Amino acid sequence: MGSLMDARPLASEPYYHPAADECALFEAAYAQRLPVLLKGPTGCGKTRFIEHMAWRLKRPLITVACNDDTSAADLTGRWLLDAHGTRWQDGPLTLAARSGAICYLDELVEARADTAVVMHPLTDTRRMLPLDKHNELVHAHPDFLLVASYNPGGHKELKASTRQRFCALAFGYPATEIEVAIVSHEAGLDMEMAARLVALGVRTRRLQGHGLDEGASTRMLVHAGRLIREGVPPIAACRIAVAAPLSDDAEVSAALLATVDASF
Amino acid sequence: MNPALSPYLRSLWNITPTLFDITEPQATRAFLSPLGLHLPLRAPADVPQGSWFHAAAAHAAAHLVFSPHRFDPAGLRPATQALVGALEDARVEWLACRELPGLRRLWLPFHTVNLSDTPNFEDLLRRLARCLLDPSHHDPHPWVVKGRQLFFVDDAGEMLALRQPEALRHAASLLGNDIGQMRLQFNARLYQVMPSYRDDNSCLWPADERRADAEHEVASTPQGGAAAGAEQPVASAAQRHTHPEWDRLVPMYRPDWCAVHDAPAPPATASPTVTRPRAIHTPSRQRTTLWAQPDGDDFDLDALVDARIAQRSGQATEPRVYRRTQAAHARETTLVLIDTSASTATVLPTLQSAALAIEQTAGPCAIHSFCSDGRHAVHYERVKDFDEALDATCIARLMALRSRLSTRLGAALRHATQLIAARRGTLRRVLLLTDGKPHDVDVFDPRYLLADVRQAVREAARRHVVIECLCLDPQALRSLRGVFGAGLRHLKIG
Repeated sequence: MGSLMDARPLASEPYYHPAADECALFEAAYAQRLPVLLKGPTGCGKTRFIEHMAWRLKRPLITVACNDDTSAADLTGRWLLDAHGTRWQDGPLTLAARSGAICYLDELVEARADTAVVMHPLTDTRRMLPLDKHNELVHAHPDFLLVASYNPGGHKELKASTRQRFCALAFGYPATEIEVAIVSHEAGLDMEMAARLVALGVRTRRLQGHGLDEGASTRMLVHAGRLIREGVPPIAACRIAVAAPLSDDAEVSAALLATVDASF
Repeated sequence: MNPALSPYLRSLWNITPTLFDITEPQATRAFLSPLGLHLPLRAPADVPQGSWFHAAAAHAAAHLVFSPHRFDPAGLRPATQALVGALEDARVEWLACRELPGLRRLWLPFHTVNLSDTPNFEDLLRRLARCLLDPSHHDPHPWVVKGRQLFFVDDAGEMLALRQPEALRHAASLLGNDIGQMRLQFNARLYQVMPSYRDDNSCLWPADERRADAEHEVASTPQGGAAAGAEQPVASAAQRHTHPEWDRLVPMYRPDWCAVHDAPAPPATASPTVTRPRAIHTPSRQRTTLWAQPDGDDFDLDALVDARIAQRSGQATEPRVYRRTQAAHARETTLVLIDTSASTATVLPTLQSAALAIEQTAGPCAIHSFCSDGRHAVHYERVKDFDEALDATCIARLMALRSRLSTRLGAALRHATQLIAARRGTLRRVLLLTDGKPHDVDVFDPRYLLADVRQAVREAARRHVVIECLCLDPQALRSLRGVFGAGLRHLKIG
């Protein structure tokens, strides 16, 4: 919690390569203070995008990684016991609403159902957060914005009452040239090796729905690239960073390993 | 045959040719037909076994991707035709290797050459193929050197000269003429494309009668399409377990009163046609509040007061002052128990599809069924166990259940409780699917079995097993309400 109190705008620009006009759209949504939902498969750049946008808009970013144990109290705050008695501690959402930060709820769909309810008054024109336990009504700071991310491929779905409060930006894997540039920049590789990695990524994505739930993400390719940069031979790097993590199924793993072997 | 070839080709080239086995045992070469890719049953004996199928599939796939052209055989001598095939093989492999350089490593071990001083035509073809796949390899034979110069623009072998089919055909004619000049014999009937992983190149020529016939000779067995005629395990002899029964008049337990015969459900004889029903959500009514937790949503007031008193009186403070509501459905284990007594004859399909629907949504789930024939013969059948996947065999077993005999519910519930209590997990429930009240042939007091069931539910509660009942008969709901309490729900038909 202590680190949350220090929330301040990011010092340096996080690298982000726009795929289309998503930056301008996000800025427009922010200008109107409309909550934004970032949809897309894992590792395609949702979190990096919001970091970049927070830096661009010069707003502090408070990120909450939601899991199935994340409750409303985890977001809004709770009473604590210390040497002098009980003390109220703001949660990350309350802190962001008070201080005018961007609050980013990563994988919102994983959180418990009661989190949606506390979020709702913040996402419409009221822009307020009732803290019943603290007997307080927090009016959101004019700069506050709520952003959530969501991976639609998962087994859970967002409720309509929640999703209809957001504007949604759909993310996919970047176009090949852009992805090559991203992998090259992030892993510090030359363009040719980055292109080979991206071609491998595209090949694994062909197996999506044919044994794989999702193909290799851009993040995975960057991991492989960083191993290569570390001096690991490309085949070994892709085996441990791409083929092995993607599947436990013997048949699909064998195909992935053969594809890796063919690619370098 | 290697089953991973299909995903391999899909990921390499995004193509999905249907894969066939060539059932002729003598066949050693793959071939491509309009139907798909036909592969021999076995790799040839004298080659690296592990990678042969991958090499053959990758080569044939390269044809599918890079060989759209059909050559006209008119005016081409058999040796020149073989050369067209060899050059086209080299061309598609070169193009494939440009995208996937690792393929060269896959194919090269199959290129073994015989560097004799008096090579025959086949030897020369193999040496040329070796040179064209691996430009760094140098072969001194003038004919091979000429072939190499025709194939590549540059000496390093980085630029392809034969980009058009006409150019390739012309190069093959030139090389074929040289073969004629060298007076080398070529027997087209015995010729087989070398190395062995390469297909017979029939796909390069317009379809002729020979291949059309061959297609009919192939007894095609598409991969994955073969029905797995898995033998059903023979049902082992039922295990006998005894359970007590509650006599409401005494009132006391009658020890070891009922015998439950626990056995796997008999295998299905016919495969049923089942459309999977929409999932039925049966959320657990249990939401457990955990007290005195190290963290949570709210203070546990009792623990907080104790902690504060301890603090003020200078004693060690207990930090666990919170309460938390447990997400109840997270680790729930369910045992679906289906009543298959004779009275369920008309509604058994509903019970079966309800069991399927619950299985779809519940976590770890078992499906068992029971019926009884007096207290010594309570038949308890396991259709699906907790760790079993709901596969076609399971569904067939479920659909093969038949209504028969009576309903000695208490004994069945005790047995189910015992089974599920042995499972790990905080939330365990038995979900009973029934058509109504219990009865059995050797019981005449209508309230006797109900009282026993109520007792069985209480016993289960003491073992932290929740018993819920989905009942079909609206008439029976009233009397069952007193037995199952809030765990009773009405299951509507349709």
